[in-house]
Amino acid sequence: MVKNDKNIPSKKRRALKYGLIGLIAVFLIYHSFDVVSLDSRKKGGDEEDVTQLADAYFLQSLPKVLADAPEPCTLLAALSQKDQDWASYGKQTNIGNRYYFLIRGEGNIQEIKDSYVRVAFGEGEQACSLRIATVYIFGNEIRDASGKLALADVGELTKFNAISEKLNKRVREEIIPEFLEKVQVGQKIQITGAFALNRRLGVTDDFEVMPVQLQIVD
Amino acid sequence: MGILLSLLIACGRGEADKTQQKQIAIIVSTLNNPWFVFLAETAREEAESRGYVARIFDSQNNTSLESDHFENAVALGYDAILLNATDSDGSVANARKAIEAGIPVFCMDRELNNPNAATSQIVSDSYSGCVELGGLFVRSLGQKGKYVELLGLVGDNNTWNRSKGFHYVVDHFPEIKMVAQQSADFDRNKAMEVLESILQAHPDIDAVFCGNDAMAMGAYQALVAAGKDKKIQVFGFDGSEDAVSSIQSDGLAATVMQFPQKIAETAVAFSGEYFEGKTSFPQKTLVDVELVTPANVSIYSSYGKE
Repeated sequence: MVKNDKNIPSKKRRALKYGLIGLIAVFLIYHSFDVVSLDSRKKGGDEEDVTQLADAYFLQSLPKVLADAPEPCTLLAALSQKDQDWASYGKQTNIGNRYYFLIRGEGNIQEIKDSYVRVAFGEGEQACSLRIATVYIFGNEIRDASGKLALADVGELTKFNAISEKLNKRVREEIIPEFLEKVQVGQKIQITGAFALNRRLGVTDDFEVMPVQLQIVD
Repeated sequence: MGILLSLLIACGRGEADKTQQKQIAIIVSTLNNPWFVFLAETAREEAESRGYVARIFDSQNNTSLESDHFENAVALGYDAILLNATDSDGSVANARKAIEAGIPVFCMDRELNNPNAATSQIVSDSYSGCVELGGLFVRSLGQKGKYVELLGLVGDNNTWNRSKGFHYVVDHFPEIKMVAQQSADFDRNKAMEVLESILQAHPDIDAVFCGNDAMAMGAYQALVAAGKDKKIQVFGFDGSEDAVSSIQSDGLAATVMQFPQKIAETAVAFSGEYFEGKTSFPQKTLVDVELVTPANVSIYSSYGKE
């Protein structure tokens, strides 16, 4: 039998050599690939897509429309008129009675409650007050009130709903806590926001505006 | 002789008009649930009012039977199919048969998981409705309490759209705990049995959220039998006749009103547009749903009839 200088048979030596090469190859191949399920891949892709769409909407499309949003009391007075065409003032996403509206205004904090702050706008006959939500910010108001983002543009309904969730989360986590830390009754604030009303019920007393921006002026 | 000839010609013309009448097949998941009966009947009435011939096929919640209906509809030369699917995945192949045969399929209420399997899908915005219901639920419980969720059919997208919308809101409130979640297949009797069993293990719950009104009524019945109907709030979804009556008499806490009339009318209107040559339709059309509570129930009729 042929032996090498360390007295190992050549067959064994060859097997050891190929075994080592095989192990190195397996190690290299294993670390060259990242095996993930198709579902998780799609979810990750959708998540990125949703984040990009929500960011682009919140930072670019929405502010442009909000810049021309009506003052709250003027809008409410118009919507309260009998037989008023709400489509001239708001947007609809679905077939039905729900309309979404944007507002922009400056007012004074009247009261601070557990789930909203009440803000008084305008003076004299033009005065009105609105509840600004600070807890229940979950609906489609921010997504749908501008009319700049439609289901057809996004494609899938789950993605469309996820955009609403992202927008609401952003407001709940980035806008509300800072505002609640400083807000006091009597302060003047600037606000932009969105709200929804049901045409069947008209302008009710208890609807809440979902804020997009809240700025304490003094 | 002349009169006889005129009559014969008139009859012949009538027959010719009849053969030119467009035919619509309305294939419905089940006629055991009054909500679907209303949906199917409204679609038929709307189709007939537009001069079409319409026939209702009951799939009895059976995908195989639904498949037979599709084969018959294709063989009999129907011009359009309005589908209320038995299963979001299982009905895809059935709808495809019609699409491949050149017959448009308009889905009503229950959606298909493949957008290419239907010409257009007209569905309630169940997710958003349950987001709103979730908000009311949290407020009603004072952001604190234990609850049970009764799910509908696990193969139906509506089951999950409703559940997801509800949880999106409720899960943000850590002091609200779900102690049990179980399917009762959208069925009243099953919901009653399921809740009776859950109450043995969890007698101290504060509320029950149900994916439809039939289950809500079954759950409420179980609570009445256990003498807990005044303490435990029940929330449903649909706007069925008995749910609306129950809210009026301080039974159910709330429901979400769907509008099957609008769904059916839109599906028939889309069929009409298709007959006139339109080929492009929105993949999905959403119909609003509305929250019905003791405060506003007086302005609502069952099934959102208008």
